[in-house]
Amino acid sequence: MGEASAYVAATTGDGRLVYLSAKASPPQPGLEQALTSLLYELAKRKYSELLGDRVRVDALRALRAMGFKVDDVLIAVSYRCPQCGASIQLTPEIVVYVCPYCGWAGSVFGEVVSLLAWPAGRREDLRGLVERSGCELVSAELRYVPFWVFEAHVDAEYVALVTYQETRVVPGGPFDRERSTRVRVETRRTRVSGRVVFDSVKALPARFAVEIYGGEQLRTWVQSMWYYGPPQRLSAEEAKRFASSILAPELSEGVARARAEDELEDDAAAEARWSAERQVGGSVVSVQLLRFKPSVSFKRASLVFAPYWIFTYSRGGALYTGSAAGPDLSKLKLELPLSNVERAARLLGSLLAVFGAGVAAELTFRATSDVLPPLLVAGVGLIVAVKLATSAYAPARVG
Amino acid sequence: MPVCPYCGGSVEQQPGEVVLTCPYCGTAFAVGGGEVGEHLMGSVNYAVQQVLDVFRSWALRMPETPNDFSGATRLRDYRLVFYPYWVVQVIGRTEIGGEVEEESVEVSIPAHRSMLRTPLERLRLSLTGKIYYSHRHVVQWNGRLVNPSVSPAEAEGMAKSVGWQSIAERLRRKFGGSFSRGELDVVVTDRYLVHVPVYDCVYEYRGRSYRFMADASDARILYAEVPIELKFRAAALASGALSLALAAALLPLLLNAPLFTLTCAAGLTFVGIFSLYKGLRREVRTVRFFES
Repeated sequence: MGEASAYVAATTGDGRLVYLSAKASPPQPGLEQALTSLLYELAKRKYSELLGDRVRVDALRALRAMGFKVDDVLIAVSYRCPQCGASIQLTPEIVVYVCPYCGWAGSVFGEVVSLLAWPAGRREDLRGLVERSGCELVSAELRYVPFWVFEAHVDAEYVALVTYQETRVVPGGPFDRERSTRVRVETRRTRVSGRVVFDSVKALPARFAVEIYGGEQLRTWVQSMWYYGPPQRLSAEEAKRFASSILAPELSEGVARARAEDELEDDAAAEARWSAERQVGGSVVSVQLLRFKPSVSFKRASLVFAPYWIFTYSRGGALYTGSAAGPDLSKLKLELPLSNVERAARLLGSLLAVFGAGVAAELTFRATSDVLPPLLVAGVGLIVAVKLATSAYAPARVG
Repeated sequence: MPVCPYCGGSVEQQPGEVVLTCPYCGTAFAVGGGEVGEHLMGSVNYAVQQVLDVFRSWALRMPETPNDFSGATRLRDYRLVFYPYWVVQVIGRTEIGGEVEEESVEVSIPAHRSMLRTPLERLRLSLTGKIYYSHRHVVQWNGRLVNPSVSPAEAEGMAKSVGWQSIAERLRRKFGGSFSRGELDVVVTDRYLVHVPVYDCVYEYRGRSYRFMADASDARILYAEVPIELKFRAAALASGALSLALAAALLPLLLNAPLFTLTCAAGLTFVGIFSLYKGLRREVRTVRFFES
């Protein structure tokens, strides 16, 4: 049994450029035209709605209301590249993509996004680095990790209550015939106000599950490289070449901006507390912000892709993981082998510490005939032994 | 049999379920009547084999994992379950120094009691990327749907309490002692029912079975049991036995050198038991999320 089908290019109710298609069975005169107009009508809904059951139920109801005897209707949706018109399947989380056919880069709403990226280090160089350390490269995968980078200006006014301690040298008491002095510690409180102003760069990963080994280090790398070696703009041809290694951003600029604002406000609060602390002499016990009015203005937001190598390497038959970023393959995080010899040495060390503690405790007991000093000596020795024994079973060093 | 308020379809009800999902139109409705708000889901973006590949490379990051792990593991069984969560948006307001401070949080509440005290309890969701519920999608992936046994009202109560804690913590971090917990009011602004696809997999390594769970939308590992290398275990067992033997061998010296003997016996027994514990463990269990 055949089916009637229709296919339209449309913009959804929430502004996404899509292709919508529908199939209904059994075929009957006028059904394809009805499906086409129905698809234009359905396209007015939100993209996420078009993937649900209700849209199908509503389409079925609408077709039946028009007099068609249809058993079932299927509706499919895919993205549409605004440059070459290719149909592109993306997971619903993705907000920006690079068309693998023409290299166009932009949002699912069809807005062009300029791609900024640092050049990636070469696989051969990574292999050389690993081999120079006496290890063998087992696998290496290059990914371009998306970050939203915000350049912001932060200005915050504050009023704070600072509790601090002041040490004063005061004369001895009235009955002190030797006219000696004594030190008095006084706890005081004072109210201070001020303003903190600073410029900052915040990089936020544009993925939900940051499946990055050394993700926090990569974020720091992006923030520092933003100043010291800014990224280059990628042409469409270059973007097409890297499209398969690019992790598509899942976090929109708006969501990232809100998170960046939160983090910057937290930074400003910390800076305000620090500033209040500096206004007071003595030893500060606590700072309470009584009033805090931050204002964050964003000067620029950019989507940038950081080249990131995740690799495994072997040494002495064991496998370790590492990650590196950028053209010069800066180390982000590296598992370092903890050899069996090192483990055995630590274990042996713990046994020696146990014996050492025993001998020291016994000798101290014989010398003092008191129980407390030898117990203290034994305790210290046993703590060292425990630390050495547990470190012998640590999985690996991470550097 | 309960009837869907949107399309009139008959819906099966299992014991304990307080919210049902219509298999025809995807509407979620309370058993007592009425819709429960927007019903969303995470789509399955990873096939089970892809998730297994992600899991293998994730597991290899743990140094106790045997080096032949990738090649020697085999998927034995799996099921894809769509677990329900209530995602509730909570706003907290308070006044500090004459200024109104407002913070909002999105709280995820497991919507079935069987999810409590499991790794699923810790899953934090975002609404971004979630699509309207499609039962066809569940059937297409051969998934099993779990309906909520926690009512919307109960979920809102729990979300208010969790949201209050989270907002209070944030305000306390920012304002320190100036923030008075007693003056924080929280209200629920939105509530969604979200079904999250989770792979529950059993895999085999050298004849033994282990389990892991992963989010089928983004391949995040939620729970994992990973075998420990045999060489590692043998060395630990040997050193454990040696330490305990040494401790026993020292006991005859108790009368002549009591403090020496007691200190050494205590230390060696600890090292021995700790080593035996390390050697007897066959697997590492982890409920940490994917490395970040």
